[in-house]
Amino acid sequence: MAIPSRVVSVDGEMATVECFGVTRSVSLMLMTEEVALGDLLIIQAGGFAVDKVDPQVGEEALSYLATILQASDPAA
Amino acid sequence: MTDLEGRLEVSLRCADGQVVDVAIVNRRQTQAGRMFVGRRPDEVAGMLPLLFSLCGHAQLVAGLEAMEQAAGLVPDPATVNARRLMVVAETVLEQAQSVLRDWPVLLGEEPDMASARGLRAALGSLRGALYPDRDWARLGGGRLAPDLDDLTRRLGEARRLIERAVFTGPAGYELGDLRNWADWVRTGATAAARLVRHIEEHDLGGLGAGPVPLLPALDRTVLNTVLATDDGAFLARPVWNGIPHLAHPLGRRARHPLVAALMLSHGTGVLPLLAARLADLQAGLDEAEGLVEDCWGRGRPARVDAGGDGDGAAGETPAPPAQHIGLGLVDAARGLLVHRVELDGDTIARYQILAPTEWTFHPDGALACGLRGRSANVDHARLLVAALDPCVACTIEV
Repeated sequence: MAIPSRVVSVDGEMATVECFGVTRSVSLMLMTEEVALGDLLIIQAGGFAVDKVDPQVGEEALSYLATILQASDPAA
Repeated sequence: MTDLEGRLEVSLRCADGQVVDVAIVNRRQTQAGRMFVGRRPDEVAGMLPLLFSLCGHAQLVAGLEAMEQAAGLVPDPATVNARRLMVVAETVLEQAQSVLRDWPVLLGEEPDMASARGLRAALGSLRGALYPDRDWARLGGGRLAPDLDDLTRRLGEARRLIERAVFTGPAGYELGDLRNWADWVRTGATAAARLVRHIEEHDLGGLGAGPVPLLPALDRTVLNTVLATDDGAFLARPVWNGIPHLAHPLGRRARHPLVAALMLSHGTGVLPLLAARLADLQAGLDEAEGLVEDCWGRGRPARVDAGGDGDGAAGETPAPPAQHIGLGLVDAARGLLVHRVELDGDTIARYQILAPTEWTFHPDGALACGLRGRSANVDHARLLVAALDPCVACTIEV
C-alpha cells in the first residue's frame, strides 16, 4: 500500500517525510516534478517517492488508511 | 515505515552450510479491502490508484471490473481497450524500473535512476493521453478521447529508453532468437546483460527451481466461492487445489521461445524468472503499441485480447456475475490480481483483494521451497527474491 507522506525537509535528491507520526528519509530520484516543503508524496517500496498528490485527495486517502490503523490497534 | 506499507521478513535457518528451513513472515495488509466497507463504489474507485501506488492502474482496473459487475454496468469495448493499455504500460514501467533500479544493485553497481525517471516521465502519466478530463476512474468508463500523437510519442520514448538501457540497441532486442540472446548475454553492455552473464558464469540459472507449480487460469466460479467463504486465511496464504502456486510473469510467458527453452534446463529457477520479465517487458511494449495502432491509429476494430505466451491466469471470459457480487481479475506486472466486491444497495458490504505476492511468498511457496536444501548464501537468497519480485520491501536474515 502507498501512504501519502508530507515533506518536512529537502536535501538535494533526498527528502524527509512524515506520516502518522513516523518520519523517514526517501529518495526523490524518480520524481518527475519539483518537490517543496509540505507536499504530499507517494512512496514506493525501497523508499522512492514517485508522485505528488493533490492535498485534498491525499488527506482523504489518509482518512481511509487511518481506519486500518484503528482496526489493527488493540487499544482502540 | 508504518505497518500500513507492509513488508516481508525472511529468516533462513542453516546447518552445515545448507538452508534447512525458511520462515516467511508477511506483514502486508491482506485485509486492506475492509477500509472500503460502507463507502460508495465511485468513492473507492477514485482512491484505488492512490492507496495502491504499485500497480495502481491494475488495482484500479480490477476494482472497476469487480464493482461494475456487482452494479450491473458493462463498459464499452473502447473503454476495455483503454484500461488494458493503462495496465500494459504500467507493466512495462514496473518491469523496466525493476531492471534499471534493482538489478544493478545485485551486482554491486549503481542503479540507472536517470533512465528509470525518464521511463516514468514517458509512461507514468500515459492515462492523461487517454482521458483528457482525468476521469479514468469513473465506473462504466470516463470520456475517452485518445491523443494519438501524445500516446505515440510516449511509447516511442519508452522504446528508445528500454532499447538503450536494457537491451543495448535494436540488435539485441529480439529475445525470441536464442542465438541473439546468447550474443546479448555474452557481449551486452547493460546491467541486465551483466546480471544474466553473472548467473550463467556461476551456474545459478536453476537457483530456486522447485516443485511449486505456476498459477493456472483460475475458474471464476470456484474462486468466487472460495473468497465468499474466506475468513481471511485464503487472502493471507492462498492455495489452489490444496497447494501453493507461483504467481509471476513466467506464467504468461512460459511459451515464449526463449523462456520455454530456459525452463527446459532450469525449471522455474532464477534465469527463466528473469528472462520471463525481460520477455514481458518486450511483449508489453509491443502490445501497447499494437493497441494504440489497432484501436485508434486507423480506426480498425478494437482488440480486446489480453495476450500472453503462456497459460495467462486472467485470460478467462468473465462468467455472468451473481447479483450484487463482482469479481475483477487482472494480469498485473507481478501476476494475477483479484478484487471481489459485495454490494448492499449503493454501498460496499465486503471488499477483498488477493495480490500475487501472497501466492509466491506463501510460507510453503516458491521462495521457501526454492531455498530449502540450497547452500546457505544470503546473496543467492537476495537474487531469488529479486527474480520473484515482491511488491513490498523484503528483509533476509540468517
